[in-house]
Amino acid sequence: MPGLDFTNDDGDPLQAASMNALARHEVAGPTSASTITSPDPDALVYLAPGDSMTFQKRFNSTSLRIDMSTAITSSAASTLAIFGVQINSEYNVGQFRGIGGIYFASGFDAPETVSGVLLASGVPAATLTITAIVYRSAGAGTLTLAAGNPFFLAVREVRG
Amino acid sequence: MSLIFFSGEELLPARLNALPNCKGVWLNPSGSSTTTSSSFADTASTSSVSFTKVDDQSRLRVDFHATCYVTGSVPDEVEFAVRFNSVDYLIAEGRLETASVHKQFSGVRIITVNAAAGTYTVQGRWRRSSGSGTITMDTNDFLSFAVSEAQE
Repeated sequence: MPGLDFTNDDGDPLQAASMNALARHEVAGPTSASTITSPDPDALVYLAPGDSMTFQKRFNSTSLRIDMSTAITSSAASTLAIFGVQINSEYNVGQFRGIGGIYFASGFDAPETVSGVLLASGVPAATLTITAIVYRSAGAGTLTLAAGNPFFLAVREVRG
Repeated sequence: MSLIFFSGEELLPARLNALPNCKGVWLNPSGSSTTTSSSFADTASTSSVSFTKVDDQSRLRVDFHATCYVTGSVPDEVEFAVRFNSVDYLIAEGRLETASVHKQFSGVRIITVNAAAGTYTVQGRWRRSSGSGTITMDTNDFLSFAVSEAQE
């Protein structure tokens, strides 16, 4: 609400009830197969079109809660897939934020589930671009996110 | 007195609505840790969080994720829990069928106990619930959980 900030007697900011829904965003799942062989998180291996979101963070003092779940395959053994996010270009350098991962002891045709949750503090109030990334941290397998695989990434602003 | 937004919606305190109280742990272990105990024990030493509960009557929601594997005898079963206010709350479990194969375990739990407002340590826990192998987390594994306060 530009120009107006309401607080209650406790000093809590007041928000429209619909902000509860507006504070959460989701990333679309892959629409075509993505293969990942990059060992470098800074290479920004995008998952698929629609793999980033803009998010309006309202307060400097809050944190971001980011929940992720998906499934991925590896063509070869001893391969480690790590998922995470990067928040805005100014946080990219050295600021890759891991959320989850899976180590493939052997190559599998069947997808393995990966999920995790991250609380990111120190992110200022701003319109943020949050990009989901995945990279091959170890091994030589080709990691594949198949079209139609579930991919869920949700961002929410929280206190704490 | 209620304040009404231009759209006709009621304005609510943010702490009750858009901005829940939430803390979390994310861990990629720097070394290996194991359990063969049938009793719950702490996961890696940094797998706890200090959480401040602001309301006496609220509940806690915990979202939990971890990967691990087993060495030695298979199959084995592993259980994960979070310890809150001196009680272990089971939150995820599963079977490890093949030695050295890392698996993901996840769960969500609402802790309904009415603990008084205050600051608590919430600690990740695990145990081998069946089998005789060695349940292991190492540098290729991940553990994360989030604790948030929910209205009753």
